[in-house]
Amino acid sequence: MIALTTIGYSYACLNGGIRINCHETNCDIEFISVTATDNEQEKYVAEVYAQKTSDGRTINVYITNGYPCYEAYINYTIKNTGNYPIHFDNLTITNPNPEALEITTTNHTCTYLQPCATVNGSTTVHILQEAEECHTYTFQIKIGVSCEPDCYPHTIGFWKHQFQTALCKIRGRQHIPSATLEQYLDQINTTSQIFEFTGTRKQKFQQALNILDLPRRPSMEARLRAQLLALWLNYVAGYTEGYTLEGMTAQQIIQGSENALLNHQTSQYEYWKDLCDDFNNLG
Amino acid sequence: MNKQIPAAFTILLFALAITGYTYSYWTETLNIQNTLNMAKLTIYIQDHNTTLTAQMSTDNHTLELTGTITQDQTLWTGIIIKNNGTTPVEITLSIKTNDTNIETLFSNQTYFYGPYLETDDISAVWDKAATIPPSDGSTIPPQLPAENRLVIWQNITRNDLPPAFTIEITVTYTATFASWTDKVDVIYTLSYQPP
Repeated sequence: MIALTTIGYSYACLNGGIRINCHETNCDIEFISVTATDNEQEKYVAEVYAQKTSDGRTINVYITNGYPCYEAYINYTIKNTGNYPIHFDNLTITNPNPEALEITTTNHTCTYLQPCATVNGSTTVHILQEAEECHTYTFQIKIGVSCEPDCYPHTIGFWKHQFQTALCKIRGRQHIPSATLEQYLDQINTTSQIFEFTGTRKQKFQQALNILDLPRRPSMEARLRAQLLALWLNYVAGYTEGYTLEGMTAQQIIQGSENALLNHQTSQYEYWKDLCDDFNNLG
Repeated sequence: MNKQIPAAFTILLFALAITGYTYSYWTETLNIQNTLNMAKLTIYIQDHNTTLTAQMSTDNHTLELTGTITQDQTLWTGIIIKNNGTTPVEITLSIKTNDTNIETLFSNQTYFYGPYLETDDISAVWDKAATIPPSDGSTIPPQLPAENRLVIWQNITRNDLPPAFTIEITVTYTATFASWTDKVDVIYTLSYQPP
């Protein structure tokens, strides 16, 4: 079993974009700081105190001696301490006493947080007129996040493998169905000023493979076109969402690469080729 | 032995499947949990000093004073209001009677002293005051911080000689903070019977 597993893993690394030296997936996120203030300016009656737990996953807030019209502000910073982009999936506020408390908080839903990046947020607690004396109120905010290591850019080797298996040039597992591959090429057709894929599905696949499968001693332009096409495929497949390289998104690198080719800026070919290559290897 | 091999293989397959699923999708939840304890607003009459017959309610929120008053007589009554809550309060005063026809025959003055902590010596403005009212009183009630006391001296004077009457005068001290209030009442029941 172990021998078979090892063979399979090595084969996957050779063809499927999983490299021998691929790094370990690590998804992690935590609160790294929290501060609490309030709206009292002349008289100080209520107090607010906030503290994060040692694992950074929870902030506990304590308000004492609260009264109607009092507002507490909890400001926090979240950091992606892993090495994969993290997606903010949902936000849930559980407030059993909406007649007494009004809770507003930053909604990070549908945004990404890059590795080592931070994002700030704040929660406001407003005590309403109907809040009663001597009562204890509680509420909870849950921020749901996820990290999908499968959703990352794939290398030129991965895409070459897809077209080779689709054309039955090699035996292997085709991760992306042929119909989807053709859709990708058609999408690139409509937007790219460099690439054009025409004819039957088989002809389009061959045209793509001709670009991806570099000859021996390829020119820098050929290398740029190959990496650019791989990046285009990653882009239309949604594998570049949430990733940046040197402050640039995939779309920006694609645009820069196409401009260099369109304007025959040969001195820039290697620069843009390296960017495309590095982006395709972010996974 | 023959049965053990398929069982071990099946277990291994399940383990690999679970591992793969775990690897492919990581989720986490960040939490912000809040506990909020509300303040309390409450005042009560801690003590009183009067020549009238006094009856205090069990919750120390109502002091009933009964007696007679003759022409040009001035009755002095002292009370101590304690802020037993957790917030400072503003004190306001209101007076009403049950007989508007004769209420104009009465006049009143109110003097406020404090605020004082429970540990402060208030004898100079209370039971050992040299004069009634004690000197340096204010006609405007000060803000009363939590756990502090307010000494109040109030007089009622009858200015004319009406026929026999019985009048009820209610003096209400209202404590306010934000939208919360609490109050204490001093209810005078005063009568006069001509000789």
